[in-house]
Amino acid sequence: MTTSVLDTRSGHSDRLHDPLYDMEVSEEQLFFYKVVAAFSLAFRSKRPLARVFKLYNLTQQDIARFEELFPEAAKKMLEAAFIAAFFMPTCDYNFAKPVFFICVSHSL
Amino acid sequence: MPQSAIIQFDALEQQGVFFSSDKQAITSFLTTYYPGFDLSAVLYELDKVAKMWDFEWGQKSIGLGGLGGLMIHHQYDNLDTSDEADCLLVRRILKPPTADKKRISHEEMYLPPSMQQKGLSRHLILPYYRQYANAKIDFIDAQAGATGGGYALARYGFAAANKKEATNVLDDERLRRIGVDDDSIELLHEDLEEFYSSNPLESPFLMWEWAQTSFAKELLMGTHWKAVLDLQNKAQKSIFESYLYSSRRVLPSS
Repeated sequence: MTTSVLDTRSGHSDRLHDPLYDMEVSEEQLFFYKVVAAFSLAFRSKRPLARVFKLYNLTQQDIARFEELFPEAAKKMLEAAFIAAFFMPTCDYNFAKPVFFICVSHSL
Repeated sequence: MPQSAIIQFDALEQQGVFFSSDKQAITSFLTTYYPGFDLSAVLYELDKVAKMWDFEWGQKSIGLGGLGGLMIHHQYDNLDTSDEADCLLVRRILKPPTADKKRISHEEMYLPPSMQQKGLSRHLILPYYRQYANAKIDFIDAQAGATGGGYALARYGFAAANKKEATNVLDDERLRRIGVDDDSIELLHEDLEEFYSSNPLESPFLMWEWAQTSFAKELLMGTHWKAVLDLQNKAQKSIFESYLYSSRRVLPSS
């Protein structure tokens, strides 16, 4: 089995540090930010979720975990995702975007 | 209109603070632009931080700068070494407001290697941050550069000041060299273009979202960009405070 590029990069990251990065938040908090960021980027960039999830190294299991940990936020975000997907052929994000940003804004 | 806390210049001078400008001018600057900013409290708290971390500030100076801002400078040099890299530096500039917006520049913060990754940043930032709400400060400006900050600032919620600054982060050759795949690089470019197709080029770009990608450190570390944190932006402020106050969670109620 080969090591994926992302795995290699992840290992490399652990050895690096930004001299000014010394304030920490919990893993749970980081996970929340990561999923919200991924959805936000997906809606803003109008790109498919699958491609964005790859960028964030997110899996379906992660989304299931997110739903389990943050059911209210997940519900709002997935509703927005559904709306966007519904309009996907015409890419009418002008409608979906405000909905999504309201959801994100309520989540944070 | 709230008045600035009275500055006890004599007492502060006895504690080693050097005022490089006319004291009346300093008082006038604070009273005019930043009533509510308690300068004495900041200085007192930073002294407490030094005591807690077992060092003594070698320089504490305050003065009005060329652009009319008030500069507050703290520096500690470890005299046991002659290494320049072993100095601790914190410099902030309260800027004269423009268009009714009040800004503080986190002009410089440098932590020597021996003091890095120990949580000192939080203690150095908090004494100032506690004053920002009182002083009705709208924006924190900062600069990511060679001595750090590219990754940290993005992670803490800062935005790139405009499109040009956000673009500075995307050095395709460097990203390919460190193993980021072409599709990911392309996606970041597309994201940037999409955002600025519907926003003015001067709009801040929310870099914290890129700071969550799986290669965020490689993407952001060592990059040079002007950063801004809008304290009226709920998301940016919440993220910053979640780092600053270790006990504060920014999670939805579930």
